[in-house]
Amino acid sequence: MIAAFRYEMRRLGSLRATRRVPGVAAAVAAGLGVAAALAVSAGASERVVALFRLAGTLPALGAAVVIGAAASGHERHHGMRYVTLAVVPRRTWLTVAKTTLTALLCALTGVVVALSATLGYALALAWAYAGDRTLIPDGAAADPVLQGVAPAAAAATAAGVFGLAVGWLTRWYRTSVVVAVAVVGVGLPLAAGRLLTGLPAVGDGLARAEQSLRDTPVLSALLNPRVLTAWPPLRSGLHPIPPTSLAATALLAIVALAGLVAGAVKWQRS
Amino acid sequence: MIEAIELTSTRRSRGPGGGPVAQVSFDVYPGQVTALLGAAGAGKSTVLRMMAELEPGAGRTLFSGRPYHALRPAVREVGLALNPDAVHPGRTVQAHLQLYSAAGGVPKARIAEVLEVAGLSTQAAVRCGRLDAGQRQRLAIAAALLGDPSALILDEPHALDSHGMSWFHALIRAYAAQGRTVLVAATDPESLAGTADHVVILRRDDEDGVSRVIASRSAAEVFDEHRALVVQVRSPQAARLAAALETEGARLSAAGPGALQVRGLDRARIGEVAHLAGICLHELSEIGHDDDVFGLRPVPRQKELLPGLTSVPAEDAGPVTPWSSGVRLISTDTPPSEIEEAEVIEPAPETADVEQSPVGEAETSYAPAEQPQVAVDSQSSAAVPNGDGQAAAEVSVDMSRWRQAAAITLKAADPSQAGEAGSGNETAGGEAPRWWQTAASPPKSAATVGGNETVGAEAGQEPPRWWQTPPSSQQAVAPAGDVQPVAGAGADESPSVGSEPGEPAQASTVAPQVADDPNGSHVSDASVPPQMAEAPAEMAAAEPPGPRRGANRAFGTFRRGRGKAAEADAAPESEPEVVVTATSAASAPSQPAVPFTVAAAPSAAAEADGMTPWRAVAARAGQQQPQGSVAEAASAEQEASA
Repeated sequence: MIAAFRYEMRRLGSLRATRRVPGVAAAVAAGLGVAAALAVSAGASERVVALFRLAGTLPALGAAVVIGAAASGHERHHGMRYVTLAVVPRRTWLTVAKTTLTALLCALTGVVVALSATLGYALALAWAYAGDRTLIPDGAAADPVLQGVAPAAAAATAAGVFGLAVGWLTRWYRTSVVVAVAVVGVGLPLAAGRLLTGLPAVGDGLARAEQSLRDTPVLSALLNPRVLTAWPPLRSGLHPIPPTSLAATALLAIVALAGLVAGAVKWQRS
Repeated sequence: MIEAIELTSTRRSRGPGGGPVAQVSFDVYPGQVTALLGAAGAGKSTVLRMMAELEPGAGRTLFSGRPYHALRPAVREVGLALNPDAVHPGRTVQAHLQLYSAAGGVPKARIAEVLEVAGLSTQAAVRCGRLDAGQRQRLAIAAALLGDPSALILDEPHALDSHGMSWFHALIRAYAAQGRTVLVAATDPESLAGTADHVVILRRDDEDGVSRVIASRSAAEVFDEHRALVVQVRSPQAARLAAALETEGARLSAAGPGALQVRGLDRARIGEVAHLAGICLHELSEIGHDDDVFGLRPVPRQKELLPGLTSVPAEDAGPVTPWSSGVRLISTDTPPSEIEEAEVIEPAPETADVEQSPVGEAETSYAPAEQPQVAVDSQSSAAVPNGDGQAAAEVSVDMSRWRQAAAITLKAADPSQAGEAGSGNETAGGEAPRWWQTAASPPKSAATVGGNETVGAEAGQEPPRWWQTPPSSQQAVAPAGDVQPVAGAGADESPSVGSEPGEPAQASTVAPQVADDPNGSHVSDASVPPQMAEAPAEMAAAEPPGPRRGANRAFGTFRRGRGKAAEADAAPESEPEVVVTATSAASAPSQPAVPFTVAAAPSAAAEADGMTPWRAVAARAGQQQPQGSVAEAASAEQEASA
């Protein structure tokens, strides 16, 4: 088991995707944070500000999908499966090690990206109101954004596992990664919003669960701040759910776990 | 020690050539290099993957009594190099090896050591995607060596060049010398000849498509040339020939009407035996090696060796009688029924009047290996009266297609025909048919000797041509009833072969070019008619201009069916099919590009002997150069064989 973890850690660490994607995602998230702060200083509407804030979490999810897919897809794409199995001839160990390390790496990526967005937002807001900080609007401080770090990490973990399953199950690696990123960043909020709209009972249940979690001292930190729970409704009337919200994360986690099981079975039989 | 026990794959392997394997069991002993041989697609890689549990299936493999998944860490127990392309193109060479070291707990210093061993020290920081195939192969081997394992399992290192193969062989030999276990898969047995100690042969069954182990034996048994050699002999007196060969210890198997496949004797010895027994041979050719039965080096059918053969119009080809072995008998003036009858008839050994040649005569008619060469041009074919003037034989080799075929026409003529034939082979050459004109007309071709006649080829300064028959593919013609002793080993009894033209012909078998003759002069004792001296000019005119491809081609490659590269790029061009054809001199010009044609006109004396009076005379003009003795040729041949 130790050998499997060591091997996977070395393998993930030597991937360019592991090194580059989180950095790129953090940079993009920081830029979106700066944009949100400038929108606040410019007196933009709450809709625009919320849009920038919510967009700042998407790079974490995209990076997590890419890392997860690279953890398994590169192995298939470049014929490294035999190398892996020759070095560690225990598929179960490798599956556990791969899933665990991918989830941890994606969670870390989510944290880094969310912190990067927060840092960009805070620095830009401080720079915009450098003369008199008392002019910062109420609720526009960085504190609510900081509260979104933990939800971003949870969503990134689910996205990473989803990417791992995509790499195992799909044949066309690059195409499938692009599709998976689009699904997580765009399709999932829309699907979650449509699900909540079409199934009010599910929406009510999630709302009660969220409220219960917010009342819990520790678990409340894992939820999105209320300011980030609402995605501006689309012109079509559809109300997307933020990808880091409880509903979207739960939906993504369910899909990812199902794919993980299917991919692991396929990996075991290959 | 590695024990593969009943390995059976449950699915087809990846790739177009892969196939399932069943009941594969063998042992790999420490201190030895074991080669897993098999044709492409026989399942060698599948077996190796199954041994490492990389491929699902039944059976198990034990490494020192433990399955592969129980090895901890595996990289320190078994080194695997199965797929050199299994590298991430973005990783550096060092990072790739660090994967192995991380899982196996190998110190990082070991990476530099194996890179030094593999010759990749300067490539450590290079990404794997920038490595060429040979470097990737070396990287895979370096990865296998990283854990300093006690066993190595290596797939065929096909990407290595000759220098790399030398390094590879030295490496595995040194590894085995340390008492470790080495298993190497290979397609070409030659690649591991001299390196492997033990050979496991895998062959796919044509019926069910499943590969199985058909032999597990020592390498000496597989790679022994003499034991592996298979010579096909065709004779109208096959029964007598078989009896004579069996007394020499040959292993025989039937190969069709009048045809035998001989194992255990080389062609020279078979020719000697036939000569001593007074048996006429229609064919004497190496068709492969004994390990062909393993499917490692399938010998192409002779029909495939001559692309132009199948395109010959029927009206030109005359009556065609296919033989079971793929050699077809073409007869133009002789009814096919007679020919076939002649093939199956076993005449009584009433050869009392046949003057047996002493032992060693046949040896003298063979040329050494370094200079190959029998190729008798049809234009230069000449009928030379034999010693007693009873018959004349005409032998002509037609190189009707530059890169496709060569034809030899052997014609036996009665005394009345001798003069006609001896007047310069104009019987055939005077008509100047197309296939004569297109004949290679090798100025350096050696002569073919039939009956008592030996006509040497003209000595030449050019290197041997591609069409020049190698010593191994010489066509030996059995002596006719009036055979006289041949010079050479029996030089005391007969004049030395290689005498000046004009001397009576003495040799009774094909006498190829002598190797040690710098001019390629032919070992001959034949009387060359004056007309033959004019033949070279005609042949030279008929010879196509421009460079000839494969001028220095080693014929041993094609005749033995070995050498992938040679087969791949030149087999259709240079592998002549030997077709024994009975034809008349008149019809010979109209024959298609048949590489080996025997034109026979039975003589009365030969018929009286109950033997087919094949007489061969290699017609090659311009024997002006001093010629070496047959004894020299025989000794050189023996050295080459050794």
